[in-house]
Amino acid sequence: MIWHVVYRLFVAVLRLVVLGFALLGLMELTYCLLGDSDRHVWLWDSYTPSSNPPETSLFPNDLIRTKAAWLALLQDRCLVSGRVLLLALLAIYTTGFSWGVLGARLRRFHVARFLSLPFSALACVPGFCFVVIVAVGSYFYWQRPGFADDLIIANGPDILTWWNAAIVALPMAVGGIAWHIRAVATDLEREARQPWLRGFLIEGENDETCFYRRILARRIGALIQVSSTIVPSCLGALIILEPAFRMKGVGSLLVESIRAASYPGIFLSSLTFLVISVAASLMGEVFHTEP
Amino acid sequence: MNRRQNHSLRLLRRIALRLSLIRSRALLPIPYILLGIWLFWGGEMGRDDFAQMYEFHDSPAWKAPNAEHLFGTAANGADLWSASRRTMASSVLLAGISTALGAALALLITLIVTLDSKHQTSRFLEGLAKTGRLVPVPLALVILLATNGNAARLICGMAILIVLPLSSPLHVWIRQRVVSFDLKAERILGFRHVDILRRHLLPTVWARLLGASATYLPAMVLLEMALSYLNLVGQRPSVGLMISHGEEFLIEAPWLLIYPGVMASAVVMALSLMGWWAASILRSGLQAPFP
Repeated sequence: MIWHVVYRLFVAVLRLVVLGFALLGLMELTYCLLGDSDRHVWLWDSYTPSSNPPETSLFPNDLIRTKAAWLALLQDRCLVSGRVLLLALLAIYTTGFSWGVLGARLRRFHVARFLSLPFSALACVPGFCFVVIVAVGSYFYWQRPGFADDLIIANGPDILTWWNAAIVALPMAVGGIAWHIRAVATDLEREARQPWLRGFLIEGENDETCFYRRILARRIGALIQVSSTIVPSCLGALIILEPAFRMKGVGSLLVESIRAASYPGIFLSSLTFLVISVAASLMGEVFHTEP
Repeated sequence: MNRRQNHSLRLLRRIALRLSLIRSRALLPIPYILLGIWLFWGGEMGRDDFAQMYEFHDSPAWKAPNAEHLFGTAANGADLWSASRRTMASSVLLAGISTALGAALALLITLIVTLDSKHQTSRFLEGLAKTGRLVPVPLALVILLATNGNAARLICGMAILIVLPLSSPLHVWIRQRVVSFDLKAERILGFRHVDILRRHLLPTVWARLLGASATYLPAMVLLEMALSYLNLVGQRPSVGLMISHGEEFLIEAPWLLIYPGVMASAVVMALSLMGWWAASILRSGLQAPFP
């Protein structure tokens, strides 16, 4: 087991290194080959604002930072995005997993399709449009702050932060739940069609016991791995939804940095996303053991 | 007594039987054609017309939704229903081209890798695809479109990114066919590789690939709209850009923001339903990526 974990860890680190170099390659392609910048990604000066005087700098004032300030900024942004991710993934894993299992259990009635249908329909609404409409509705009809940057709570319990996180998490969760129900149900239904299961049924084991003790127990590792594949999609949604809701998270940092051509901002925010994505994949691979 | 039917009657019976067998496949393009005709009726919207819709006037000619204009009118008095439909056509066209290009690229790469006798290439590319799938798709695209983002670059980016999720199932389908009995027999009988590929391998894989591409189309439309919303694809008319411009008038004319979103949701929902139908008929066996 320990060797399995060490091996997967090694693969994860290798993947992160490859993705880091790919990210640098993409930045070089965009800014130097397709754009007209002469700040190559391999030059240290491209990452430090000291070589560019503020008046001619490509960095806006709020992104001219020292190394320590960059890390503090990233920490703040990670906290904001972390709340959103926590809510979204919690909703996806609890609802998606339980309803997927229920759908597979009642597979003869095609329940998984009906359970995922409302979520699939809601997922067709563009997420950025949803958060903007909620912000407008919130402002006009409920006389509450609309976008995430409209009001900052200085004292007292900061419930508004969680409300804002919930608004951004909702479109992510809806799409994720729809996908997760179908993915879990499909995996379990495929396992339920395996010929070895007939042996237990012939022996007199009932359908319910067979499902929970044999099929689900056997596929739980694979289902954890399936669940980990939703994380990159959620992170992708953050990049679109956070700027739309004017929420100061890692996704917003990436878009702001891209607009400002700030290499440190792009690199740090992208690397944060990649680390989360690789970590989620590592968790899935560690738990997954093919029976 | 001679009970043999005449030739034309037999031919008619054969055609009827054939049509009943392929009725689902024959009906499949009809909703796509109808949606295409509805969207593209009247041609695409010019950039100047689009810019005039959101020009700031002292006395704007906009009207709230009424019986005459279901979605209301823009600042220059242009009907928003018609404008949303025409910009949506542009988004669907772009997403369609990207998906088709990506699918073709995935098929080409997978064929080269799978039919290659060196097994190491296949394993290497499979590992690379697994690593590539950890990258959130919008992350790569927002960086790629950071400088002078335009439609051509967006199409290339989306096409390349669709290769990764499509290549894995394609690899499995092609392997299934390659190791099947009839293909092995043909190879032993001395048929040429090209003939086997053209007559036996591609027709089956091609149908399933179409089904898989159909499930990816709505996700690509959503992605295109999201990137347009972030102003990363230039000033090309798009629903995402309509919503982005509509935000400037959200207090005076909120319908400029809300109704294009409604239209986008309806079109994406229609494409999703058609995608599921196509995937089930063409037996692609793939889950829709997000919606």
